Amino acid sequence: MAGEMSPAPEGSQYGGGCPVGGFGRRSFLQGIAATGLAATVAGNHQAGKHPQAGNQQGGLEQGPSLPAVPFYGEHQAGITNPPPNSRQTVGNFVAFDVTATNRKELTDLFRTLTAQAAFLTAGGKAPTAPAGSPQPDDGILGPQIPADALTVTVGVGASLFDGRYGLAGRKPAQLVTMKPFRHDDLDPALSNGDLLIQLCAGSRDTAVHALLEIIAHTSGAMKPRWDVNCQVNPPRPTGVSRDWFGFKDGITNPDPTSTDQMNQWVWVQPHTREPAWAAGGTYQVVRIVHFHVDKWQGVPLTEQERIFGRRKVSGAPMYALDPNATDELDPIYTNDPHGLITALNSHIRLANPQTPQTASTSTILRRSYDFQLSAQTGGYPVLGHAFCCFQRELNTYIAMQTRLENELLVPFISPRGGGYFFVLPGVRNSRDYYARGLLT
Amino acid sequence: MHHPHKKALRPVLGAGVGLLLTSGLLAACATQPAEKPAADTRPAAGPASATAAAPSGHIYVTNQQANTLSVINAQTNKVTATVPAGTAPEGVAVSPDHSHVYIADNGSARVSVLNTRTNKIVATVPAGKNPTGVALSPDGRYLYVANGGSDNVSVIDTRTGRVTATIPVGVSPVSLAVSRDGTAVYVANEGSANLSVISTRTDRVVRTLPAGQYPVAVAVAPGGGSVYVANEVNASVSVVSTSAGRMTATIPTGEGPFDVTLAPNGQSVYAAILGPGNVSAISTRTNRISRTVNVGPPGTDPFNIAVTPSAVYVTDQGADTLTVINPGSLKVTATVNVGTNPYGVAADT
Repeated sequence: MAGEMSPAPEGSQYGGGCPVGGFGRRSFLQGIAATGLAATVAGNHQAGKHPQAGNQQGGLEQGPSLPAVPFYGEHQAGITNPPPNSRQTVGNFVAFDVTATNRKELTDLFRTLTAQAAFLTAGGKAPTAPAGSPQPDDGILGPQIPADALTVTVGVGASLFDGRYGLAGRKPAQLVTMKPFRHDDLDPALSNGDLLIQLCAGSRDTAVHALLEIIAHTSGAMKPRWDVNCQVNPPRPTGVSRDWFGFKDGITNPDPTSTDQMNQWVWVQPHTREPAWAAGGTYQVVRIVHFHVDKWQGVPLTEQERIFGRRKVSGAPMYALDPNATDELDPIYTNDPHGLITALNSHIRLANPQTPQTASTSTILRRSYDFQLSAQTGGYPVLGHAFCCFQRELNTYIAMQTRLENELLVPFISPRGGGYFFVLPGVRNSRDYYARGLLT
Repeated sequence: MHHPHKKALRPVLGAGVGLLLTSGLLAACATQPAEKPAADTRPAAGPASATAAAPSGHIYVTNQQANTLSVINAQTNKVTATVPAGTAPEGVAVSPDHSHVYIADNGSARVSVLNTRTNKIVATVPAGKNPTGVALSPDGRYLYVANGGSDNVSVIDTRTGRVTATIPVGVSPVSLAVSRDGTAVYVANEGSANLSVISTRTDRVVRTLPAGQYPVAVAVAPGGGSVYVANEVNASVSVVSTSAGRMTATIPTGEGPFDVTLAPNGQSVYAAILGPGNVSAISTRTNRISRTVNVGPPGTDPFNIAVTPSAVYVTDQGADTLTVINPGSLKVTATVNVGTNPYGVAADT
């Protein structure tokens, strides 16, 4: 999130086509500084190693590398196996403006992206050139590029379907430009975009390397618009990760291992109101939300729990008093009409009020990350949440967030950017490419 | 205890089969003669139904987010019908003569009345806001409805289908139970940590009894000398002496006790415990948990209980199932798929 994380005026970073090199350097610096992990292993070239990653075999002689996540398939990777379970504790959401001048160049862009993503997610020998030439690979990951569970997830924004490429008639039925919700403070420079590339990996350097390679291979066809580099905190002590408010976040999700549930709630199905090419894709929402942690710190624990609707220490529903209660317990509000146990305008109760009227708009697949804005000059650290979710219908999210417009958490958060995107169907095999169905 | 073709606009005769007191009241009913037969003037009742007995051997489950009622054959444990049933149906009770089922429609502030012969909703009666718990008087004449959202109890004359009284109680009453002699209704006030005791003679609150934090279910011991209260945010079931007006025992249950229901023989109270996903049997003699059975992992959410002489039925809100438990061995004997987010359960056997 370059414009966001810089002390310079927001929106100024990439205006007028910031050179790729400048972007890359900035990103790299952010990547090192912005993660809490970097602080715990400062100076260690294994930065980003997860305590539970279990990749100890190399010791200090070899950085961690998680197994490759399969690239080809009906659906894109990077969606159904959220961290910390997937160990992809590093994230980077990067939006781009497409500058391809025609449909053919756009097709070439997607082919290039496909080739890069296929290579980077599998890992392999870094390409080289004679020493007298600039090197094709930046060398950040050394001579052997590790897979490191890298996933590259590509989505398209509503603006790609304007008049430039003749795609207006093929726009996913519910894809729109994100409109501000009440209390949003969206910065246009931090919002929307023609493309969104979500990079998730086990280590920051893997994600940075992938981003730089993608940018290097696609210059002229797209340029970065905004990005958020972010992380998922390790479980403290167990279960779901905590956000900067100290609450466990993303507890409630459909079961990613259930094909039925994924088809019901996440994947666009064939023979629906969506265009045929969209089947197998999904709608993605990213929201860049600043957390006012200093203000939050002054709120008594009981009030914090009332605002969220969960116990802080355990992550369990309000009925559970035991600090060791599991966060897997379901909140129950059906016998609590006044909101005496779980406040009516608490975060989780508004997200899913458990009523028949809201049943169809209460299930999304969350995959959020957290960030710290880096290279700050003075002031309280700027901390935030890169909220990310996937759903078969974008309107599900919009309905849910509309319910949340007056939640008790409002004074402590400030949504600044993000956008709505349609994650393309998966690349089926080595002859397929991103958006082939859309473009042909 | 069949009362063939009870003739009434609303069912007249029999025991209250409430969310909480399913079979205990049936036992009471067996001791009562059919003293209030009445003519069935309901237009829907055709010639066939005039001579056929109301069905028996069924379990009724409300599916809170599906807006339906599942009808289950108690012999086969198969769902035999799924009936649209108002908005957010929660508490459910069967009339003592099995002819009607009463459903609290939490989302629409109504009680739906199901004719069990046709499995159709034949009437809806306005209640207060967010009705949840329902229970019938032992003779089936009156239905008591706990309106959690409006802090009162509606009394519905089942013969006329009219509300005959609206009784202010404590804050957020969500569950109630009728004593076996029919003289008192005990109302669990979730928001005021106590119970309101309604005299059914005057339809007024005559006493207030203490409870634990967030009482959400109540059951009356056979003699009426004590009541059992599930304290949702207290990890306990309280035993409250109705004569002494104080809590006489606190039984640790695990996190989130959500329902308590008396066994027909009066020897046990079964408690549904959300957190661990357990059903515990509490001995009414010792006031200790005698046995516990797990019905599923966290998220199964055992919700409401109905007990017959042969089975304990538990709705699993998080699993969309009804668990059937042998009351003797406390072992799970069947798991029945029902609708989305099952809530209340009642049995006519």
